[in-house]
Amino acid sequence: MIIWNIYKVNMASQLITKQQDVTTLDVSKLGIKGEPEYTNSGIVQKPEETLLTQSIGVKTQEVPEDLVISPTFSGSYIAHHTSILVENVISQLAEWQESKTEDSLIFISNIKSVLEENYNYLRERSENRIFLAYLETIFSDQNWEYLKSDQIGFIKNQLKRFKEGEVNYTELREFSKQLYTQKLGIDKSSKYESKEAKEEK
Amino acid sequence: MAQDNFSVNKQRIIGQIHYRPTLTSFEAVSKTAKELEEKFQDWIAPKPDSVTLYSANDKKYVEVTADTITYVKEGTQDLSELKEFIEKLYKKVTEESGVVEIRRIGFRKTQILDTSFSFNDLVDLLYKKLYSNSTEINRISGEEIRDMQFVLDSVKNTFLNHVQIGPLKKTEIPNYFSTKFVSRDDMTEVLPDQALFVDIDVSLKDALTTENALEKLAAIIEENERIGSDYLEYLQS
Repeated sequence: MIIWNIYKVNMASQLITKQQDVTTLDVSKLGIKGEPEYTNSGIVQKPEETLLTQSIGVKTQEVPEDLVISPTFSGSYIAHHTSILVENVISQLAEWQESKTEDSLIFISNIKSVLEENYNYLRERSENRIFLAYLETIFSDQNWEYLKSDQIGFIKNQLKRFKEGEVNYTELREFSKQLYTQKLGIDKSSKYESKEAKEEK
Repeated sequence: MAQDNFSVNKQRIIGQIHYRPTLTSFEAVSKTAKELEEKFQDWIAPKPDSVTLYSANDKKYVEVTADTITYVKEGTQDLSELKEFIEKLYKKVTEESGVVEIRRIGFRKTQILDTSFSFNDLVDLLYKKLYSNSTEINRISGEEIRDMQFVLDSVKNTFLNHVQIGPLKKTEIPNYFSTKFVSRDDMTEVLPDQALFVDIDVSLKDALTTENALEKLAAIIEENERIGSDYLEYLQS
């Protein structure tokens, strides 16, 4: 489990620092202190620290060797597990949205289980690994507690688009930053409340 | 949430009623088989108490012996025909041969399923789905799972069932599906590189009477179909 958490942290930091087939990385918006060492031509940039890594307490590191993966499973088998993951997470999110309180941990627990079960399959493809890392970031460290209802809808929509091969990584990156800002923000009222919970107040 | 990752490449269905023979049933084997003679292309009688009606083009045959009625078909399954043919022969046997004791009724379906998954994918999928304590197995001897087979003999809903599921490489398929209608050399031309093997045999031995035998056969077929579809759905979920 410890090794998995470190990997997860590394992946989260890679979301901000590593650009592969995505749009230009805007250094100024990330608040990165150091000068980027390379231009955005698909080469890893090396900031000193990012917002995400500051709170996690782990500095950005080199790409771990285990991220360089030799294909183990066929494309159709990976697609099979990807489909299972997407459908399960969407249904669990929908159940969580309908639940009476924000403490319906069973749905979050189920999502984490699904991510963990399908982790080995999705990590074989770079685009899947990035998407998996976004989900793992959202559903770890109680980050999910700060999701608003419309944000849950955003995640569900991105899951559907991911399945169709049309996910927008820029939007996902901005979403992750926004979520983290909510969590770090002074305003604790940004914490998620279901519609029913609000009506009861 | 079932997906369509598997499709039938080859399959065989076998339905059988086994009863305690009488001297009359022994003597009346050919007379019983004659009930269906017109439904088949040809017949063969290797011994006096065994007649087989067969149609090579349709890959099916019916065998009548002193103590069994058996229907076998490869390729597309026709459960209606299976029930119809067995019922016709069964009524002949019970009405005219004095058969009163039913010993066993069974239905078996053997399938070779095409899949886009590789052999390694199949091993991974089946191992994770069908071996409940994979963590402990990995610790003891299974660092890298290269091949596996699932075999289960059990009782469910009062039916006896024997289930066999496993991944097959191309060269293994003839060992698991020995067709009675095509030569072994012919088989290798149409075989996939890898496949999923599913063999389910459901039967009853107790509480069988001449009155309930056909009804039990229908129930056994239904149970076999349920087990097969449930396993496939589980593997794909």
